[in-house]
Amino acid sequence: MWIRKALRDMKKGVDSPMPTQVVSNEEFTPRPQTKTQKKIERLITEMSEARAKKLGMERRDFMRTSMGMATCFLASNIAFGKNNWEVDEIETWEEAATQEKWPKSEYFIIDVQAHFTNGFALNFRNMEFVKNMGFNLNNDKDSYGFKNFVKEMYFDSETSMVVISGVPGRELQRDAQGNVLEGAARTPRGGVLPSWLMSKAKNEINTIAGSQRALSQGNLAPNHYWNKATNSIDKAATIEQMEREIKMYGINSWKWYCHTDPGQSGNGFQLDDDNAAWFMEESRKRGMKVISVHKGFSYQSRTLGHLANPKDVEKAALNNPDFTFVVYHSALKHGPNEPEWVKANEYDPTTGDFAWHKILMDIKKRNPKMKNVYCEVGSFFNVLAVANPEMAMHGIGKNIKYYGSDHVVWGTDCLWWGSPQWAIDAFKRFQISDEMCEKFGYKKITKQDKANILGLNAARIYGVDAKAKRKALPADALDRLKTAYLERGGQRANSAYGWVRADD
Amino acid sequence: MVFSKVSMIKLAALIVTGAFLFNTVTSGQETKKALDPKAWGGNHVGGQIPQYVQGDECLFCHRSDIGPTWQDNAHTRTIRDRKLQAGWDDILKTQQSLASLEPEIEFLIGIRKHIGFLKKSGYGKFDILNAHAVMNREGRVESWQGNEKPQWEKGKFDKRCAGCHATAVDQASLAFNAYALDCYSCHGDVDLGHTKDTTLVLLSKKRRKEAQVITSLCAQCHLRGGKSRSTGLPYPNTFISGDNLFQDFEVDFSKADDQNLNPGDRHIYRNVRDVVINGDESITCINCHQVHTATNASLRHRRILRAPICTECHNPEGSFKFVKPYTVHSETCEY
Repeated sequence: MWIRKALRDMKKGVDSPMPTQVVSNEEFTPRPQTKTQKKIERLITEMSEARAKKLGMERRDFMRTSMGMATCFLASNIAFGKNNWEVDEIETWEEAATQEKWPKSEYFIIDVQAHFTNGFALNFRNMEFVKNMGFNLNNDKDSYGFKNFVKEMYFDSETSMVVISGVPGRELQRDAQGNVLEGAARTPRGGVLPSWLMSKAKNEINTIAGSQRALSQGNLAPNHYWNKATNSIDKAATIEQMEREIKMYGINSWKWYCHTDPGQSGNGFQLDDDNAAWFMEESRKRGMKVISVHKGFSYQSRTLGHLANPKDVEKAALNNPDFTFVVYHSALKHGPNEPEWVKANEYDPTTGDFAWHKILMDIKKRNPKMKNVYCEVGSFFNVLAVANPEMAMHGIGKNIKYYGSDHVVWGTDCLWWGSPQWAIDAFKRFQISDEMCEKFGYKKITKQDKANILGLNAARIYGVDAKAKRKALPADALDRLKTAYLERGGQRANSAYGWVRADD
Repeated sequence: MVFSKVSMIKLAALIVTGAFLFNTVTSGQETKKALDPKAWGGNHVGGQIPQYVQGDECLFCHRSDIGPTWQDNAHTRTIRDRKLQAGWDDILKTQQSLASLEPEIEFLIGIRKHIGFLKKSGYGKFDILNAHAVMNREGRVESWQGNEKPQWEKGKFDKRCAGCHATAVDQASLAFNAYALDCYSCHGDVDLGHTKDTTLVLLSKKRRKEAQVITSLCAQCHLRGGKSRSTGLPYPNTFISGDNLFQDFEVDFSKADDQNLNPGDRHIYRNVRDVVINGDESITCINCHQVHTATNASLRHRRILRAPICTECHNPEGSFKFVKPYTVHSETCEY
């Protein structure tokens, strides 16, 4: 029998800011909670109850403090029998202990993979591993909207700057009469996060802040404008859009999804194919030489998923040494919280290799002098860390081992997963065990490594002065943003909850 | 046995009511006229293909619910990239008769019974090889047909296969928009506003009661043997889910009673006839067939009903799990 997760938790008295099991959206049978997940859940409940009682707090309130989060890391360490997370017992009792040990201003943080939506609710927050991470995570469209983006990225987390990152989609250039369209008219169906909207949001944030707090990407890619008569790239339309995105929108990077086809070209593309080469040449002429490319998580595409394999990075990077390629998700093919993860042999625990991620690692092994490829860790570190910290040690350990801590870039894929603070907390506390360093040749992660990954590498890619003083967003910013948001037609919707097994 | 006066009155009333209802029902059956399947709704026959939301966009949001099983779903495997089909390189390379053409094969068409071979031939076009493999129940090649003189056939795919193996065929050029079936094929031209109101999407959980619409959209491909009146092709002309298929698609419903037709096709004819001619909207395809699930055949049925139509394939007595063996033939698909 299946049961709503919320109901199951309520019946069991579970209020965990850490994931305790995967929930189903009705399309696959809920998988049983693992023994370790059960143990973590029990420990979190027991430990938080004891602490909240002694501190004279409600447990729910306790779980929303840094003490609650520290309790989860401690419970995870106990359950796994290893100190995967650097956390002291005292942090579960005193907020000041966390503040002292992990001061908020310690790192300059740029999140290169941040998204919001143009008034759409998505489905990501139903996934158990992000639910209740110490925050109230709703799943309505407001939760994915611009106002909440600002709140959760800037107010609820330590993130200093965000790169508003694109999603698949293209803009319509002209109406039926041939008139050039502007703004929202370029995406008459809305579009999840079109280039014009990313640019507009960036400008709003930077204007309100009075300093550079946001950068934006452009969605244009080599297969977005297609001449069906010649079955080839529509070069004129592509250049027109390229000029617009670079000059008018002021984009800071391209964001490519090789395995999607919004232009109905009949195919995807590869970084090393002729159309991509032509695109890069035209982009080079216009001074835009940063390409952020989604790799991994391939079943976003119906038939073109294989094009999200990172094998094409090698030739493109070698042929274009003046370009920077940021490989999103570190090319992790399949998330450990997704069905069939183990059965499909997507992870080899004996070597710590992940499907497709290994291909990205092998590229660097073959080309040690290649310096223009970066591994981005959004929906990579956070997903692996919560599934099993040992997997995160392998993932981050290999990224640093082969690409160096100066070529690993921080991203979270938030707001899909809520505020990024839990991921930041986790990364600050993250360390690779002595045993794994010895066995797999990984290195201990230093504070300098973390500083590089959390922000300094992205600052270098985007030409950001990390030392520049960034003004805090003014107190009335939310009101102004809320007004702008409501003008776009914002309204409430209800949350949804997935299913788990009733006998769990 | 002693009856009180009140009980007798109640019994009499019950008998009278029952008799009335019986007469109403039987007279209803006698006088019920066949519906005109063309009478409801509209169509887009001969129109342009809309700028519909593509599957890749759909899956961006629906990656966690639909994504995990969709790439293995038969609907998205009607045509498959050869490079991604394990084993087929070896099979094709060992066919000496295909030696000269084998390197050109880019895609496979068909899944269970026959596997055909395709190569690109311009935007939205495929050439199809006249040779194809006949598969056995274990999914292995049993024999080959047409491999004596293998050659590429131009235009054949457009006129026979495109409508049901590819997405959004433009009737002017017979070019398709995407190979295999995209979300658009069944869900139609989806309004992005469905994120706020799921009733805007055909086949959403809140839109599963439109029997004629559901029947039309499944029948566009699964009702084999029909043809478009406007084009004469064996697939509908610019059908967009939500349309009335039968305004342009001609079907011989007498096949529903043709005992020579295999039970699988016959049950489709019967169900479609029940809905669009007999006006029985109690059972549509999706009452039993769950599209968004794993490919395992045992999971294909949402639940086992005991309606008469089920016994076309299932055992009417004894174990209902028993499915009658039968062989499917298709003139259009040449098997």
